Amino acid sequence: MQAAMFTQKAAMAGCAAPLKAAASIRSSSARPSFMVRASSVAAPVQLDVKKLDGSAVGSASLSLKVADADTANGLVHRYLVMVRQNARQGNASTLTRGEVRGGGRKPYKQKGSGNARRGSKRSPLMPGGGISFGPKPRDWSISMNKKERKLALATALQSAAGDMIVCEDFGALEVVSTKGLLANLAAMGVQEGEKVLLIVNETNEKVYLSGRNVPHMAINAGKAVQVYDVLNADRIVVEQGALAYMNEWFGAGEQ
Amino acid sequence: MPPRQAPEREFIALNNLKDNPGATHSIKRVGRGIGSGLGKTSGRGHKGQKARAGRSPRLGFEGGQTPLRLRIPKRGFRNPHSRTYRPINLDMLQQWVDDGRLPTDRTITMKDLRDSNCVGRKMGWGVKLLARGAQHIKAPLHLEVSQVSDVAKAAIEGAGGSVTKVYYNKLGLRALLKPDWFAAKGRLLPRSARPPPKLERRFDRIGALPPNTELPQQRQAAAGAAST
Repeated sequence: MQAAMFTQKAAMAGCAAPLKAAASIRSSSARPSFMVRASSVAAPVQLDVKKLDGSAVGSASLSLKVADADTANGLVHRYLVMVRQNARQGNASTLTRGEVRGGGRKPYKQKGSGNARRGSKRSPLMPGGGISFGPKPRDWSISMNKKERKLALATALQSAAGDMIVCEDFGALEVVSTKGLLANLAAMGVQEGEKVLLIVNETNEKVYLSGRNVPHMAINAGKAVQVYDVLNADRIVVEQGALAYMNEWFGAGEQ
Repeated sequence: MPPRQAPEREFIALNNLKDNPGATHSIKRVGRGIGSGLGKTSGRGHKGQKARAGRSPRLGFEGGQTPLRLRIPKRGFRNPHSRTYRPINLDMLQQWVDDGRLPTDRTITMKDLRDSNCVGRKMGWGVKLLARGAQHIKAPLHLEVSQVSDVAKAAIEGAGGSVTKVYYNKLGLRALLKPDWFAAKGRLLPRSARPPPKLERRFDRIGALPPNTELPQQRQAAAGAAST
């Protein structure tokens, strides 16, 4: 994978309202800063735009509002852990000694038998007995601030920008054909054996049917990009409309 | 302290994700073997009341020796007439003004301070202005607060501003900060109370309800026009 080392510009010009002079808060060393914004708009990364047959059409750029370098990794980590944890069903279940069938009667008298004292044949010490602190069905879901989640996804996308290829239009795919789709991707620059993520502008039946049987290919809609797929992919092919949406939604807004 | 160097960005991948340092810490698990350092007696030593499950003497008990709270003599009384003010320092005030959360074109009242979250909900009898960060005050600010320290007042007036000490009793403070509460109950705003005679010299003026937020020079001009 290519390492997309990019220097971070504290370019607040795009997103700062005129009253919030963030630079002055950080630069005055003696005054405590009460408003900390650990995010800034990243320097744009240039991407090539290609048609489905692989011919170059132009160029586009990706510039999103990302977390500061010292917290970016931790933020994306937290977000990914939350996403994966929320997907858990939480169905693991065991029986305690009270729930295992049987074991109400004292097996033998307290004293005189020569054996250790026992009150029930289903105690956790016995084979066939209950489980002491075993799992019970539980809810594993955790929550995270909405703005943090958005920032984490944007940080992951911007970090993956070095692996992105922009496709002009997936709608140009005429025939449902896995072979055809793979040939198009190869023409656009996806190497064989690479894990690839397709981000389509809107749900495209032809692309989905062509690509769903390909191992290591994920297809996301532009408005519902999954962070695991972004991080897992070696190559990301983004449709131009989806890229524009990303720049608008995750980029430097009015805020 | 020199500014911290921002670390260079690394490519975020599934195999290098980790939490920020200090985000997690492993809990102490007792009774899990010699190597953990907390096996067998689990940090409780040998025998005695403190080693038993579910038993330990009550807080403050010293085994029968007269405990500290009985050895130390009682002192003083609690004055039911004492008044506590919420402190606010000049550095925070200036930060709020810089961020645009407090107005500069009119007098800043305690209602503005509360609404902008410069002070919290528990105000006691009002707000007292203190002088930490006095060197940051550069532009004129006009405030109406309950009390002000001498250093803070000098700092504000040195920059061309003014501080007026206004008196509100508890009901008046509620009417200042939450006028809608009265309207919702169908009540009029109460009249402003005069301070007790003993405390008159601590205040410049009785607080108005609703507050008069004109700048001092505007108020002077209005008074001059009214008197002529």
